[in-house]
Amino acid sequence: MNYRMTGRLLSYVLLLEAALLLLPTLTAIIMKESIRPFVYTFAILIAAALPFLIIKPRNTRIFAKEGFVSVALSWILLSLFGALPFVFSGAIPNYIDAFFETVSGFTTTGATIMPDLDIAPRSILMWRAFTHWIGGMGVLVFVMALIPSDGGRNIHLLRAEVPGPTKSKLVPKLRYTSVILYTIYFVLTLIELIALLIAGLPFYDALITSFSTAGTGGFGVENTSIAAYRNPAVEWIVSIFMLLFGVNFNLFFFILLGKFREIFKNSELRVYLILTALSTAIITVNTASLFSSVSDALRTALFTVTSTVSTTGFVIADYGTWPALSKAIIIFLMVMGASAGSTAGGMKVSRLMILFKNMLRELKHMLRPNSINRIKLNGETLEEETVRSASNYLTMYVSLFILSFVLISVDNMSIETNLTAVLSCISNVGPVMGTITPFGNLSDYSAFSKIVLSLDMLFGRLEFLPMFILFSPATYRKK
Amino acid sequence: MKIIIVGGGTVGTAITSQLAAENHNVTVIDTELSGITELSNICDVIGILGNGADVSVLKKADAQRADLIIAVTPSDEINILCCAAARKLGAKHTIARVRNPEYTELMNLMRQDMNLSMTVNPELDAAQALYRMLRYPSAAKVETFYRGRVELVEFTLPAESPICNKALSELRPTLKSRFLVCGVLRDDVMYIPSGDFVLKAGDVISMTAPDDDLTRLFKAIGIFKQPIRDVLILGGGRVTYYLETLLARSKIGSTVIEKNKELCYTLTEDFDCTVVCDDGTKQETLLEAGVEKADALLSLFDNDEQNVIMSIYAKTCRVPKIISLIKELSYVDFYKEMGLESIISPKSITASNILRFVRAMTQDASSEIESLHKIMGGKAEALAFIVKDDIAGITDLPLKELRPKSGILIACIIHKNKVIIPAGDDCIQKGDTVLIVTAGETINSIKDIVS
Repeated sequence: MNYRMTGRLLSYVLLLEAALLLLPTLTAIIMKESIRPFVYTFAILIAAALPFLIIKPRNTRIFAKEGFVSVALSWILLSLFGALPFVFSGAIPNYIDAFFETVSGFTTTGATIMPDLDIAPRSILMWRAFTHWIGGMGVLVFVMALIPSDGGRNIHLLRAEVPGPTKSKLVPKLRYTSVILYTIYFVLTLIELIALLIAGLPFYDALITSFSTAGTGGFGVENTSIAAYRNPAVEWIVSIFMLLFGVNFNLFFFILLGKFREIFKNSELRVYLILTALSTAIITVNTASLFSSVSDALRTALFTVTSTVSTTGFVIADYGTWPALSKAIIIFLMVMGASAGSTAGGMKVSRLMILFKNMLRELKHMLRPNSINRIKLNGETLEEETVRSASNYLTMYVSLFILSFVLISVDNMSIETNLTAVLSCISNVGPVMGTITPFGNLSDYSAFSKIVLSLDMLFGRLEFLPMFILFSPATYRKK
Repeated sequence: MKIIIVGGGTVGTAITSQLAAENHNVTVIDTELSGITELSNICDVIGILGNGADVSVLKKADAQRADLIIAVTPSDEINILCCAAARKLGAKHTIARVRNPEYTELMNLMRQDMNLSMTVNPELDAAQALYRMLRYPSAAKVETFYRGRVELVEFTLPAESPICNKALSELRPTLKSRFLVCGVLRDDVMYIPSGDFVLKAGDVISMTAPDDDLTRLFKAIGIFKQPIRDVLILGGGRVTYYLETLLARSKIGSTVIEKNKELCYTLTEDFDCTVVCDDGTKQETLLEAGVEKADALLSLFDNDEQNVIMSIYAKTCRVPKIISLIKELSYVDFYKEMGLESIISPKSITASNILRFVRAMTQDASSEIESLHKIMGGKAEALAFIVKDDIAGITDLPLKELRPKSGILIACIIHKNKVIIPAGDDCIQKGDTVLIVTAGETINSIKDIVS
């Protein structure tokens, strides 16, 4: 392990977090609220980052191991320090609650423990939503866009942080890849902000909703999420952007380059859109009797489907009371998530496609043992390595799910609540069903369960491997 | 610049890491996934799996907009084909590696039609370097500049030399020749020395001198070795073939030991050297071929380990000049510690040739890179520039008033065909060729020498 280099990377991340505090500080100044929580946190972050900035690493060489550990640690540190403003401001007095809230923010989950948002300082809500925006695209991706890369080894960081079964750079230079991704991200967010302003939202609400949608997070300003605005136009706009942020960002880059063939070739996009349309159609029919008009039913169904599949977690209707078929579809979408290379969580459409195709291949292999079959995705043959890692991902998902499900059951909540809470956290969706409504919050869980769920969110966002490697003793052995 | 490298073998890897480090946008195409993954793990490049002569693969690498394509796959045919295709797609420049001696004439014939910017041939480059070393056995390494008029030599200073423990400023009166010490490598640290630098035994010294003064200089330093008349070559591959074409024009006689009968036949058919068809690693064969009396031994097997072992053996036989061919450069320092002084690596020579071409593409019009060599085990570069225009702050300024960046040295000026080893009153003029030695700093143009 190259501890000094890992430390240095973490210091960069902390410095970045310090810089990001400027936005909520500015909000506090405008809203005439106390800026103290942010100033204190700023000072603590700078102090924490200093030691490793002063110590020069002996060599800057990092390998896959350092990449995974740096990514996992930086997400944990971000959340540990990012929780401080909540505590200092008194919005969330308990540190563990604040940690849960921050993890939920950075991992773009959007599950909250804050019972009443109306009494919280506006600047704190801004910070909460802003963590979504940063966490959506990835923190180290941002750091890489800023610092000049020394050598090519930083690719290990990108691999550990960007979700999806296959990871590649868009352009040869890692730094430009990061810049391109963040530019697309920024521009899309800006377009949504303008659209929401036109639809009539106040600037503050529009900004927070845009951050939340872009990161596919789900934190809002109102206790009743987007439903509070009672504005169909806003609901349509947010639905469309949730769908867009669930699309692989590489495809936006291809559109910019005019390579439209790549879009049509992309089978993941096709399946993602088809499944979204199909789910919306079924839920619309299934819940039609609950709404006064078909257009209301359709809009609500589309919003709920895009919100769940993109793992955002905005809510405009209490779908906990919907028929079982609709709820089952919502749970399936929760587990699946959206496309690889987007800001969404979940297993990812492409990974499910690989697993499904692999299953078909195994069946075919049983019938004709000598037949050779390769799995294709997006028109290209996949390496067996990728197929294997998708199966491995499934194993890790199921293991973590079962373990967490059992662990949080000690709080004696209903099975449905526990089930959806764990799935919602691993997939970074947010809302739960059962005794707690999708509008509700998780403050009823014990501190122990909150820590378990926080870890679930981190494991899910980083797709398990970095976190497992961080907690594996073998990582720190010399041999 | 946008550069596509086809083939991630040894030469491909060397060029890729060098060009990526110089901040170019590099895409690597290879048919083996493992090679690509490894390269993209250590360098900031993007890898594409496929055959470089496949148009769809080239299009995927965006060859239409590439500034340069470098084809260095093991197959000459694929390299030529790939360059032709890329050129047709719209790539600006192409470089192909063509190694087969049978294609030399073809390339001369076709270069125009194929629009190739350059062909590289590592084995031919290596043979030329070997030939230079044989002509100046006193130096471990020799680079020639300005059509052989100026030499840049590298040697280790022996303890018995009269220049040991002397400051550089005292040397010129004692040695009575024109020269300039460009760099000293001591304990793996490279120094660009000033006048009060004191030389010690064991230093690796890099020195420029006019061709005519070199023999006198070597004698004065005490490292002169008798000219080579008879050389024993182990291995009869392509390097040997190209070397023989050069040796045929000189007075140096050679004996080649090669196991493969076909190769032996080709060599005897084309050259009048002695060819022994036997295993060159066997002591009996070497003794029979007269290793103990040979002036020089070249170990040119395909296998690094064999070359190292045979060179060490030749050292125990007290062969005055031993040169070993090494492909994998990671362990060169270790080999030098074991006593191998002269090491030659075809891939690094080719890599620096390609690098020169790339640098020349990025430079401005005021100067042109004539040649580029990596010296001191890659720790420094020697570049020859042709100054094409008057540049304020550089030309027509006495050198004592020129303030170059640290780590940069003006090693030689060729003014109107006259070799000037520069002193404080000399100046660079338009039309001159200037030899610059630099440690660390990347130089693309003569303008880069001042800040």
